[in-house]
Amino acid sequence: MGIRVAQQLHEAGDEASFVVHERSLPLLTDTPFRRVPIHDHLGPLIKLLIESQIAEEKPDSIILADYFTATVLFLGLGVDPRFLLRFDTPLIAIDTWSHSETGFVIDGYGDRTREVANWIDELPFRLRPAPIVRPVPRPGVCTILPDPVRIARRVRNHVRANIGLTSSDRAVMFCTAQWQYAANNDEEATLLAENVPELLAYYVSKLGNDVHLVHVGPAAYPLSGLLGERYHWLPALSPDQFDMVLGSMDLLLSANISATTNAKAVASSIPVVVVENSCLAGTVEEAEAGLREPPSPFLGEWIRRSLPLYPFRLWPLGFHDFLQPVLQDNSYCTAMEVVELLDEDRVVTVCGGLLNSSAAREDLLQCQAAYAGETARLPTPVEIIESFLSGDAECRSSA
Amino acid sequence: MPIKCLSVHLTDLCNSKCTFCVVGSPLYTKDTIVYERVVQFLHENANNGYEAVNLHGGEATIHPRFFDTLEYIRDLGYPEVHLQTNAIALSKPEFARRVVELGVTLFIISLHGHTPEVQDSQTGTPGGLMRTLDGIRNVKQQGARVRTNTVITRQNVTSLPAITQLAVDVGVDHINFSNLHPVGSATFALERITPTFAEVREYLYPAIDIAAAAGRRVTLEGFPYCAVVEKAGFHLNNEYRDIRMLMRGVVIEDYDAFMSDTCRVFVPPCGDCAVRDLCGGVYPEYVQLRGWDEFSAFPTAGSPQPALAGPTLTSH
Ligand code: SF4
Repeated sequence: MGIRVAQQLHEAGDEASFVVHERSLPLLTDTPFRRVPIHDHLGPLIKLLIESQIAEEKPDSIILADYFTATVLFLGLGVDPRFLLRFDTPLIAIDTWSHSETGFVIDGYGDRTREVANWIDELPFRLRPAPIVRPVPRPGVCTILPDPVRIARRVRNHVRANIGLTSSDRAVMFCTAQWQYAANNDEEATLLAENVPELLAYYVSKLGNDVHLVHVGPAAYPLSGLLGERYHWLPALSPDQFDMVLGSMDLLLSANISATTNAKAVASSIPVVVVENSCLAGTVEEAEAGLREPPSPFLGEWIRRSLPLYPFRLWPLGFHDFLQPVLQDNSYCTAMEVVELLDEDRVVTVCGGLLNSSAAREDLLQCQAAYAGETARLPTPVEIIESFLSGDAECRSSA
Repeated sequence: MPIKCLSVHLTDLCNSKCTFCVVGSPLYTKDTIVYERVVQFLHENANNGYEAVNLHGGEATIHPRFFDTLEYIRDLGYPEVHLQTNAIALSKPEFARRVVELGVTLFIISLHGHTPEVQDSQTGTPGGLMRTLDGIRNVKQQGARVRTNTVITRQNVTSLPAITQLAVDVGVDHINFSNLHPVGSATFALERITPTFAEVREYLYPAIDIAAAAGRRVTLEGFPYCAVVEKAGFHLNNEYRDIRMLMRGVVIEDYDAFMSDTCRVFVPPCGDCAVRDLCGGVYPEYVQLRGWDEFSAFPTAGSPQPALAGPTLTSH
């Protein structure tokens, strides 16, 4: 998100530089932005680092990309992030989660919650990006819907053939990032991190022998037993290569409703199915009590192996109840099909419909187009930042 | 004798769609090459001691200014031109004759299969193998030298002896086997097309023996030395001594150093390996896919060393 804003600023002729945790440095590869790494051992010295950066670069604004991440980072280094308010430089926060709606308590694994420090009201200004906030014109609300991916038929054919798809095969894409493999060394989260791909692969296996799962992520999952040669793993790709793969797919399957890939697929008229889990269960009985029908043998066995289950909208972190307010009446949810992880029949029916029924597909693509139309009426982050910096009163009132 | 070489990526476009295209030509719908920059590069390097210009792409022969380029190179006085090609255009005798007349002395021709099933399925070009073979025959008839290049994949690994025999039969002078560099188009096909080195050795070694027995020069390109220990004398690393390359508008001053520094990595066994500098390490994409269990350091000084001199079987 921060990189997208920086790129837009760059295109508008502004300069942007990053003070960034070393773990996130790879995200800046191939970008033109100056970067100053933050190492964990820096601790409270981070304040000095930021002070010297501000003295050296004399920026027109400081952007927290985003509020949540920056707050967690500073507190982790033993620093109250409010020190940023002391500078004369205007401070802008990217408020990804729209905290005024979602609050500051995030539900995680099981019944564990995490509190985010609440100092957002002290910030003079915040950007609220759609997605994930509702695309309704309000102060600070801006569009970050990516440009659509458009690839030539020749390229699409080459990419698909290289992946190992025949012209009649259908391809379901699933993407993972490093943080989704072992969640904070938490046993329950790690169990769900490991097991969810298997359940999704099982669902894909039920979609027909010509439906393949194309997984893009840092490491392959052991899914060949379920899918055989219909499971294709691609390691992390460059942005261009990623777009080529995304643009060659028939469906995107996601377990993270806030993923930027979902937004890119929506913008690109690629059907998206998002699985979420609302089931909190410590026993098989508790899990099955919430099902509409008795589970299939595979699902029953999967539940037994995956207990305890906890709700998530950002697999495997949780964020289920936390995100509820911002997703309520949000047209973004109509641009994707959102299904329950344990509702086998519905997952398979919805995915199968989008792959096989042109009517079902067309309906969803129309919703995507409508959503894209709504976001297109919103200002861009750069437009909002510029009006804020020029003293626009309405922008200021967003705080 | 190693020669000093100027290397030019003439076009991104290609009339084949190889699954393993290292420059990703099948992913380009428009050429990004600015022809004037190519002309300038050739001009500014003339009379600087370059003994050959190596033209490649994409497929250089489909560039609309291909013949102009050959004429320009000749007029600038470069002694030799080497052409990397799939030879499809050379299947027309007249085309082949003109290219040789304009100074191409060495053709480096892609040969990835011995049957249409093996070759054409990888190049995405129905009928391509037959035209490639015609192209080889045509330039041989004109007296040019031919080196084939076979990129080793899961799809052709078991065919390596047969591919080699075919190359021998059509009169190829020099047979080169390339280790798959899993970038470009291959990124999308990594698992499907990348063989392990154990798989490669089983068929590569007999293939080398066939070429050597037929008196043809045979070389290996891009292989970690320890992956082909028994054939360590065949590495193609001293043919050109100084390669200056123009690649999509960027000048790479020392192509070998570029490959070592930016396209390969050293894995833990490389730490105390005796041939580290010569070898240059392994492709990181391979390591990501298959790990580094297959690699092991060459013994350091005092231990028996493998023969690292260049192959002696050469026909030119
Ligand atoms: S150990 Fe490393 S440097 Fe030595 S031969 Fe093997 S790959 Fe090359």
